[in-house]
Amino acid sequence: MTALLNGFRQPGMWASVWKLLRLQVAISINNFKRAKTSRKVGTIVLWLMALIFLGFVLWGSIALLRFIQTPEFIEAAEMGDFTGLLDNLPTLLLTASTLGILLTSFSVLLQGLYLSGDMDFLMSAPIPIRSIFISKLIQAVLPNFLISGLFILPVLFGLGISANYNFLYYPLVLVSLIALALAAAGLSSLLVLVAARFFPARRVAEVLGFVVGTFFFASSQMARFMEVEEEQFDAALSMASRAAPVWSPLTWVGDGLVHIGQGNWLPGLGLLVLALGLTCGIFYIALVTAERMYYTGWSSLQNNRRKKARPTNGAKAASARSTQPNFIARLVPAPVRAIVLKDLLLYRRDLRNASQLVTPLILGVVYAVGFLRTDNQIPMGRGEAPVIFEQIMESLFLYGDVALTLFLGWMLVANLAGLGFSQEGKSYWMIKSAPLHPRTLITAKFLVGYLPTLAVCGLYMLVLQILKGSSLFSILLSLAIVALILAGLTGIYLFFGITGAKFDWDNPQKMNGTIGCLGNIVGMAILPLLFGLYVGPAIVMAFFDVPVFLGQLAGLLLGGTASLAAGLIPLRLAHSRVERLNEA
Amino acid sequence: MTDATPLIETIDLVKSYGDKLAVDHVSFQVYGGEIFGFLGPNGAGKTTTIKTIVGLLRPTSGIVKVAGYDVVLEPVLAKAHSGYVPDEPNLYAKLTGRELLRFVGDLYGLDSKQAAHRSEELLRLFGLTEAADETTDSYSHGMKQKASLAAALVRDPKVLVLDEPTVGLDPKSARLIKDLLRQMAGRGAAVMLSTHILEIAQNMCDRIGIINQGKLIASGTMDELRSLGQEGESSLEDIFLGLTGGAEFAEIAEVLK
Repeated sequence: MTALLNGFRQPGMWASVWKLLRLQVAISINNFKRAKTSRKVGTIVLWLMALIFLGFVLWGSIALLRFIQTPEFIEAAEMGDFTGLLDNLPTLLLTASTLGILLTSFSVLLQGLYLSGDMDFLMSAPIPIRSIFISKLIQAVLPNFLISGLFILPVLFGLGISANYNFLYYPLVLVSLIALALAAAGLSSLLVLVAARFFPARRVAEVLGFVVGTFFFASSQMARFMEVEEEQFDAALSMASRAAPVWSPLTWVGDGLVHIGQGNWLPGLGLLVLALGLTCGIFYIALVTAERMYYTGWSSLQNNRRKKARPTNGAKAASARSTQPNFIARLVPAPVRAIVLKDLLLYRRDLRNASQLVTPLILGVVYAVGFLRTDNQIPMGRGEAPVIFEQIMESLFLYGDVALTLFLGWMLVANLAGLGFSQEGKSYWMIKSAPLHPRTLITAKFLVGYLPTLAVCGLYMLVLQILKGSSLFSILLSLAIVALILAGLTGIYLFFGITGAKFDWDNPQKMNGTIGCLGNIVGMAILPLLFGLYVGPAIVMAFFDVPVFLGQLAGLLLGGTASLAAGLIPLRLAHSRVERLNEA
Repeated sequence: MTDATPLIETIDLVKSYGDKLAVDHVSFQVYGGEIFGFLGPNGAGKTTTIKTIVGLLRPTSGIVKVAGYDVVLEPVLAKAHSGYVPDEPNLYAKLTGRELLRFVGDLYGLDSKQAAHRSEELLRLFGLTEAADETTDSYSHGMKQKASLAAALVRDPKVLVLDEPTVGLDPKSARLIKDLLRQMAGRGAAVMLSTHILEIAQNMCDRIGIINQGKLIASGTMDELRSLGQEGESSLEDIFLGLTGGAEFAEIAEVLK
């Protein structure tokens, strides 16, 4: 053993960085080798598509940039000279790339420094700590750099080709992108460490994932209502032509590249050397500071501080709980109540779940806005459809708000009920080792899936109906239809959630696939079937001049029976399955 | 002093995973008032045996009874009398310690006032009061272990099964648990614990069972086990290594010199 230590040579920093990066490459290769064939093929196809896309963007940008500079286009478009915009294009694109990497590398560095679990191992290894940080920064930057490079690099190269820039322009573009990316990652690492000082890293990751995901999803849905006017477009174009502040190092890089491309060596090199020097300086200072903050434990201080416990009166809290309405206590057994309250609490607190529930709500709002805009009129066609078809469509459209509500409810139930058991995860042993009948557990999970969905959909339905100016009978009937169909859906999704339950997950995304293909198909098929049973009798009877409300009541009876059967029968079948859950 | 009726009983317990026989016709009893230590090398079948007792795994064959109730035929009654502390304390990450104990109390049908009072007592006993309002994902391993134990004790079970209960605990907490378990046994409960720390088994346990490769190869008091071992083997470590064939590990020590 001593002989081995005598031969030990302290590795250099860059040699250590190379070792760590090689390790990541080896891990990626291993993951690829061990993946299923379909995934391997998918990965290869993805890379090929990326290369094709790169070529397409390059060719497209060359063609487009040449075209917009032709006198014919300038005259036809009446937008003036594009020279200013084209000269600022490198600055704009480099700014976009740098900001993008600054923002995106935050979450990757948060994972890499605090949540990946390998920092303790690496920090205790006989390699320079700086090499660990450099490799972590490179790992954080690389994926996002490749993605931004896919769009930005071909456009910048296209600009160079279309404007006949000097050959030095091209390698300097690459060097500038890399330097700016590393500087952005360095600054991002400082932000991560500051955030971790004040909030637990896991919580920051959850909040970030939730906020970013919700923002992008909401924006993508709201974009369908945006209409860009010509004046707004012209103003944006004009702003882009002038958006390059002189004091910004990003402008120096952009301008420096343009000068180099145009053969103006002195200003070009001067600006580039100044900008890249500053960039490297920022990267170095950020790296050293981040390393120091991490190594001294400055950024971990919040983990060692506990808020002073507020004196809680346990008896007081217990008496508050014991004054729950007695009828609830009589109606709902304690274990069922306990599981329902526990699950609702966990859904509220775990933002990873919350984002799955917010998405349906956003879609619900978007579609509600679209529906209300139609003012209850079916879309006008070319007038070629038979009259009876139009009459059926008009009748169906009357129930459009019910259909929308059910669509929202379907998405919520698929998550809440379908993943109800899987949500327990590795903590399921607490439930399994407890003295609970399968029916108690099933009842509890049914309520967890049904009650919040009913509350949200009921409110949604109510708002739509009030805005539509519906009668009280219509409101009550619609609420009854929604309540019963949701009960049926909850039962079905809970059944498939039981049969496909997965407990061995660390990341909630691993629960995907719990319901399975069959579950999804059945869920999607049963919804229009039940809806049809409710509204069908009313529509059919209307053709025979039967009073509408009789048809609606007939629909309620038929659909209600079917919904209850759809909800209860599968759950009865799932009893024995629940007893054997999570047993190898 | 032990009770005459076993509170934990396995009769020819077998658990197999396909071709692999994890537990091979294991039979033992644990009586009220005693602490039974369950020892074995890694992969011997300790955790599998424990999981069948607490109802997490269904036996392939054989009988398992807890407090006289068959865990397969009357699982709810059997579980109502037992408490379980796993080796890996996977708790609900987003529940606070206090909420976790109250939840377990409700799950087992305890009166809410009683559950609250008991929860506060246990939180204070395990030194978790300060952290009681923080979510368990912020707890250290030792704190999670203590929270897990508190959850098992919230309703004072007649049977307590623990899988490696002292791993990750500081000496004070480990001592606390030993004293607690001794008190429980003193009140007539049956305590079964698996551990790798032979000193704990030797000092705490009234009887010890040693399992190796799925088979229960020895069971009894220290004196009874000494009589099974070879001459000169007086410590549990010697007996254990002798019975489970640990001599080959001496070679590893040689290589490391």
